[in-house]
Amino acid sequence: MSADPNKLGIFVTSPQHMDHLIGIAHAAVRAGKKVMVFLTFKSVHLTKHKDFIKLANLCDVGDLAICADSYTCEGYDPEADIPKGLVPSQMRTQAYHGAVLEECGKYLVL
Amino acid sequence: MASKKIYILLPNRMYAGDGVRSALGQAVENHYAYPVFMHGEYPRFSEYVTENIDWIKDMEGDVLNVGGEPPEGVELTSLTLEELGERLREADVIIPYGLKKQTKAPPPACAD
Repeated sequence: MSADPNKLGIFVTSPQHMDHLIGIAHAAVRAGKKVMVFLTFKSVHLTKHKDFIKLANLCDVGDLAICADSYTCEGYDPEADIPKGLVPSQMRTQAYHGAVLEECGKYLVL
Repeated sequence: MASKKIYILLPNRMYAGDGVRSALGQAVENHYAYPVFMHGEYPRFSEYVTENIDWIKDMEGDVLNVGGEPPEGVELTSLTLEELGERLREADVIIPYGLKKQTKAPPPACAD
């Protein structure tokens, strides 16, 4: 699969940029683009943010995932505590980040 | 799929585990992964992190160290900041890891 120039990949490591994350995703979707997001490291705490559901609603199920290992490292249960707005299949490994780089013609890190 | 050269910049020890794991994930996806430990002062890595570093090397990536002494028990490729700058010219993707730099010094209780 070649990278889609109309798809924006966002790799998130920091828990400090929820407003930017939603703002960028919203702007991209409004412009007719697709957004693919992977949260890892401390950014998995954003799944507990009251606005996380807004992000989830901006992405297709296959286009939003969080790192299950990071989720565990940060003290959450990846099986019993699926974040609101996600389904169990969206708890992924770091290989998902590889898919983000492969599928998305544009990419940024927050 | 064309393999990409991916440099992952890790500003301090806080990012060692996830940064190396992320690099290994890219290596598994047939990319060339180069996590870069910056600014030195790393504690001894856990066996898990050390094993992941070895995996990255086995998969034609490398683990780099810029500034300071590398941690005990693991072999990293040391290079200067200038050399890192040259290496980054060939990068397809540069991933800066982590949080915003703190503006207030932590109290002594947070130092260890």
